[in-house]
Amino acid sequence: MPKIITANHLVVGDVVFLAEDGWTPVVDRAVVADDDAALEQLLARAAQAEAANIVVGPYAVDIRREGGRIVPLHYREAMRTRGPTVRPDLGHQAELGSQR
Amino acid sequence: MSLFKHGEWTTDDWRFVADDEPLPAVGPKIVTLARLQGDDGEYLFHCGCPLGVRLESGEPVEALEPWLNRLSLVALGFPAFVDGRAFSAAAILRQRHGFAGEIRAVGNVLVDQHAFMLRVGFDAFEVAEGRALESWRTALLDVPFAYQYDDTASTPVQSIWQARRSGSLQAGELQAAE
Amino acid sequence: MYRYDEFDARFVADRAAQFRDQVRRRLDGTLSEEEFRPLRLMNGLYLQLHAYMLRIAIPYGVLGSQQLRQLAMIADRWDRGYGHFTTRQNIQFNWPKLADVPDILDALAAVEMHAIQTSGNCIRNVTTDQFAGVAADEVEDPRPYCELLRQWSSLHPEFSFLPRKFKIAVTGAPFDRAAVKVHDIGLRMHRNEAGEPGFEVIVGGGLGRTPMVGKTVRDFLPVAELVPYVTAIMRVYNRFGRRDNKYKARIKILVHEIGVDAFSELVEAEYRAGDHAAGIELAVGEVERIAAYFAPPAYEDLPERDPGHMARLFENRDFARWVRQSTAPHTVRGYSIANISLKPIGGIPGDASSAQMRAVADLADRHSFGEIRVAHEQNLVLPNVPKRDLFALWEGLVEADLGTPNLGLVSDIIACPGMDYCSLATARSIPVAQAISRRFADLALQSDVGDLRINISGCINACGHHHVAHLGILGLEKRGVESYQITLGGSGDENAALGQLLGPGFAADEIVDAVEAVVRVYLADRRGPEERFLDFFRRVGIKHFKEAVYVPV
Repeated sequence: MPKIITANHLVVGDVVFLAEDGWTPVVDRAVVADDDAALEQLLARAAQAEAANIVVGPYAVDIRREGGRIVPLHYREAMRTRGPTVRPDLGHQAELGSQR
Repeated sequence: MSLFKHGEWTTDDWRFVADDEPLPAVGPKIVTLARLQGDDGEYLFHCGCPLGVRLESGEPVEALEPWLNRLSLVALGFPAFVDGRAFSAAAILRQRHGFAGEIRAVGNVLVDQHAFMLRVGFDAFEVAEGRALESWRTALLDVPFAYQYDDTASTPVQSIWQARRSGSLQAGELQAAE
Repeated sequence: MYRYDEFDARFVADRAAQFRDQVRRRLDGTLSEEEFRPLRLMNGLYLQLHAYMLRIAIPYGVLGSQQLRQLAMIADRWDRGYGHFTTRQNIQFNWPKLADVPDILDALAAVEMHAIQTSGNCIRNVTTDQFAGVAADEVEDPRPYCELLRQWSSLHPEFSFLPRKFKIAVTGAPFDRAAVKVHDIGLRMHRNEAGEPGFEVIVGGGLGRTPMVGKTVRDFLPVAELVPYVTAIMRVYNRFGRRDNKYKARIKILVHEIGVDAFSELVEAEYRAGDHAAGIELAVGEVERIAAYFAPPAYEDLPERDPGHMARLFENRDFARWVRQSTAPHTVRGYSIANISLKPIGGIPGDASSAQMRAVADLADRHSFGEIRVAHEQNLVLPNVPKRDLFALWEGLVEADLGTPNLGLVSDIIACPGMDYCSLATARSIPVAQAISRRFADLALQSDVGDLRINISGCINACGHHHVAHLGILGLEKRGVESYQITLGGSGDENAALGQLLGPGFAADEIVDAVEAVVRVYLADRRGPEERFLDFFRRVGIKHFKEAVYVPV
């Protein structure tokens, strides 16, 4: 099962995803781990970022690819990539609307 | 392990003796409740040296009653930050039994609980190595007031309720006295 | 209302300064998240699904207009222009940055507010009747005792690391608007034969995954003994409450497992063992001091029926409907208690924009001696409105989109934030509330349905109080999708009862139809409009609904 790493940003609190070049609010930019070895590498990077006080509580999320997009399998995680479903004007969905 | 007592880091004269260790002939020692309640419990007092007992957080403080007037120290265990049973144990020892010996916090003893511990009657703290020792002196000054009246000599705070009643306390007086 | 003296002010300011230092140490890496987490929780700061969330205490739901304006300022300056009023009479901001929280706490301290003990395993904000002090049916004003308990429980040396969170509610009226029977401790004020005020002490109620109605441990506790007696209860709980399983750690489990008689005996023994004379003297003096702040405002001598008001009632049907649905009898002649619904049709229950907060603050200054209350139903209240002013108030509310006349009706839904905000949630609550509200948008239909309370929780922790709703909805996850269970027949008042499960859950796109089916059964089969939903349910039982809602396949 392909996976990505997510966490919350320490200072801002925002949902972030581990990308090639650091942490991003854009889920489609997340690095996907397709096997255990890749996942372990990502988790090690995430643990470093947590120890360096960049993010809080990183964990892996199951995803599927849809075209060029990354979609978490669980509805909770799908909501985390966007923001409150009842307030489309808030959260990543508002700020990154054009990119999603 | 470092011992914080009466606002200072100090050397520890006491020795905790686990149940499987032989009892030293001399010197102040702390034993478990099980040892105190064991067949040789009375013998522990015979050497004439100060005796303390260590109570884990699930053990009832009432179990100490038969020996309290001869105990010089009660150590209360904090297994985790979230386990606050020892706060009640200390309060009962001081308020109800008038225990005047040392009440020592042992186990997972954290500076963020230091003021709470002093307020219920703890007066000595065993702190694991590696903790920020200097913060133990300063953390108490963060909030030098409390609403409740702490009926313990070791309290580091001034009771707001009492101060209102007596009108004795001027804001800032406590810090000036520190 | 209560005002801080120099001690209260200093206490809260020092606490804010302490947290500023803790945040600084977190941001510079001195404190790890593991070390910081309990410290931030003790100051009401959570990390939620999308962001941090700051929960601010509104002690026993009493707010001054200046305070509400400051909350609006905070919403605009450091959050996203709105706040969410909760079922515990608090307010939550959903988007603060960690680095800004110290400034927010300073801004709160400046208006005598704080976020102390809005989280963590400690005694939480004490709640009460939103009509306290002005309700026509009140026996005794509970607010001085709430404030006493607020002070007594703040940074309590012995009870700040309890097995689990602890909630106390107080009511001074026989009609219980504070749901005291579903709190860890519920205090109901009444008078003994000599006419002296005291408390019935109810312990071990609660919702969550093991809902229970509290049991009475003392029929009459003289008011002077409140603090030492509650101390005895807390000490028994702190010592003997379960710590091996967080789902069994609330006091209700202790009371349930050892039985109310054994529990009561432990408390009484603990109480007898102490010498409380000095403590009682101190607390009694403190209550006297506090009570002076709750002296009635300068009410005018007004006629019971204001001619202008009466005329408006005849002229304007919308106004008349709002008055009928939203106002409650006041102790003082010529005055009304005015409820403000935070449940516009299709809106988010309990949310208020900063503009609405300012509008309410202005209206409170103009018409209610500057005072506002927060109700656990997630609505607001202006407690002291001259009847003469009701029309002007209503116009102001309508202008601020706060004039929905649905108080106590089917669209006045209590809902927790659910998965739209909360990291514990298993399903969303708000969209379900919005859809039900839209389905029953027709006010004539709502009036016909009458007294039917719907509460929605997005997980088993039951922050939405679904167990005590006439119609409760619990959102769960079932095979990877949201699923909603219905309970019927619950009630949180003086005749508290827990709802009964209707049957298997409904999918997100079925739940509103299921709710409507329940309501249709009631409308079709009731004896008449005078038979309320709850009475109908108690007469016909759950089976009657089951047969109608679950059509055999």
